Amino acid sequence: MHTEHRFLDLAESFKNGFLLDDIVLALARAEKGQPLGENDREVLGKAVSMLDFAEAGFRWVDNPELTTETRSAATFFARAVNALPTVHAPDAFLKNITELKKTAVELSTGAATPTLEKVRLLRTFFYNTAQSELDRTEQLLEGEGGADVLKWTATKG
Amino acid sequence: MDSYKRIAKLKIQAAQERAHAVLGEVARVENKVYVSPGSQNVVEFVGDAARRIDGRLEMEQAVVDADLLDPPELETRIHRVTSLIPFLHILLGFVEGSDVHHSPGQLLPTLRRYTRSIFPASEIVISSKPELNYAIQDIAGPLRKMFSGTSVEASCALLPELLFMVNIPAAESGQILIHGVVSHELGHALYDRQEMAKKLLPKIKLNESLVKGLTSTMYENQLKQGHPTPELRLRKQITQEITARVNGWVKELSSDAIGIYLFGPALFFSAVHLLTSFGHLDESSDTHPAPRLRVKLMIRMLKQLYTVEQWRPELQSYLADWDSVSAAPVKGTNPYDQLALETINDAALDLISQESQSATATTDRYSTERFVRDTNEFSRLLLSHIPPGEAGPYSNATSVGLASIINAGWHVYLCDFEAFRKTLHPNDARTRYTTAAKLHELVLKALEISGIRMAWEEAKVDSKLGKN
Repeated sequence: MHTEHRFLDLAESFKNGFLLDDIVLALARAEKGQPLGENDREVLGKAVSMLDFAEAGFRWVDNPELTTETRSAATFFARAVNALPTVHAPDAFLKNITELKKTAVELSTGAATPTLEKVRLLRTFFYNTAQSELDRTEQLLEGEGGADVLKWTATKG
Repeated sequence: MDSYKRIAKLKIQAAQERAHAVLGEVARVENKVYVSPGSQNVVEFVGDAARRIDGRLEMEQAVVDADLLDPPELETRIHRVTSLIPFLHILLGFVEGSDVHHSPGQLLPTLRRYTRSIFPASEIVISSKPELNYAIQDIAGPLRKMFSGTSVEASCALLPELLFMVNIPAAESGQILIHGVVSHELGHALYDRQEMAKKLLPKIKLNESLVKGLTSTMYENQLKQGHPTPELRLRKQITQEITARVNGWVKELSSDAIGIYLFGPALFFSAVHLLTSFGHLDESSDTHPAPRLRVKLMIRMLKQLYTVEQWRPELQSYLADWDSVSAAPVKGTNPYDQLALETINDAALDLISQESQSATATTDRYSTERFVRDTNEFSRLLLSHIPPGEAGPYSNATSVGLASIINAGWHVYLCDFEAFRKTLHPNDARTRYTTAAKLHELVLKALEISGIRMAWEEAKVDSKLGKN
């Protein structure tokens, strides 16, 4: 393997990871009852978008159209499935995502104060996602995992 | 908890020391003489980023002290930031082999000018390393996206808008003709810049019943084998596999199509030369279609855009062989490949070709007229051992473009190789390899002359404008 092939994926993985870590930090603040700053609300707004994408990704098979957002939706759907290891049924997954999104919306807009239990669930979900993204970053740094390989290239070793 | 905090702080301190070690390495490599200013850009970026990562690590101390995160959360967060240090080493690895002692310097000016004619704010670095790996990619865009909104974002100001890193295997650095594939990589950058995905993807129609049927078929098959994947995970797998393929394949095929518009037949010749050496015709991945499909698209386009029936018989026969090979159906090795192959049918290939045309400026496009001129005039010059770097009357010659030189070179390679061999000294004509090496030398010399001529023309313009 060669570093060049993994570069795009690696840069993207770092970017996603930074955001996920910031979401976890904002949720930790919320759980400790600390006031959320503008930055925190912004990253929680991005958490809402991620959950929206996850839902769209779940529904994609029912209406398989292609847009520039299809890939992101599929990626976030996959991450969400991995972050909910005990959920196996499609309906339960959708219910979970809907609940998590509701909590994230409440926190990002400040419209309501979700219970500590709900904040913890959201925090666990995003921590799981952050951890799995870190695993991917590590794999890419070490030269494993899927890579954006230029197929002109000959890779040996 | 206190012990976790102490360990986290220790981890931060160790990472800070490693960031300083990176600065030491930067000081060592920044004194090398590089062929391209792009190498210096990367080295400066790494130095600046290392300082900012050091600062970022310092800020993480405050996160540790705030006592907000659980130990695993803290470990994950800190570990991500410390992982930026090996990432910096990867960046330094990119410039290795791009100094004057290793990089094929004659190639750079022409390649750089060509790239800048399409992307004015771009830079290009050519590295030659002892590994069998030919690769070209922009690293500036991904770095900007990665660090956007972070404390390292400001370091990206040290990078040009696009920074193409070209890696050439040291053992093959003299094989100039394969650089026709540079047009494919420029195709990637144009695909993004022109937002082709936005226009193209909605027009590519997936067979809805096939997608839906796949889930139930796979589930039933697995059930029969006694190891069913839970429905949710099967849905995830199918969604990921199909969307990755169709998105990735459309992008790769579009980059090929743009490459054909930019370089004409030269991209096809370079691509099949590399593919025949290193790729299985039917091997696809979730990011790249099988070479057979790529060849099919390129041949389809060549037949539409070029008067192939008037090409030399040797070239027609070469194309006919590939045409017949690419006409055979691609064998998908799994249901996802099969579905992507059903989706990217002939109509989709034509759509990709049409949209790719609109992504390239008319002035940047290679044409059948140019190919006829280049293969008539410049290939003849190569056969007379005259590098076709400039053309026109002696007092008013102009530089010959990169695409023209590469096309002329390929034409000699594919049509007049034996004739060229006969013109060489017996020592140089000893084997196919020594003959090819002489041809590559001539092509490289043509690129060098073209670069010098272009530099002279630019200097004259600058002089008129009072710039020098």
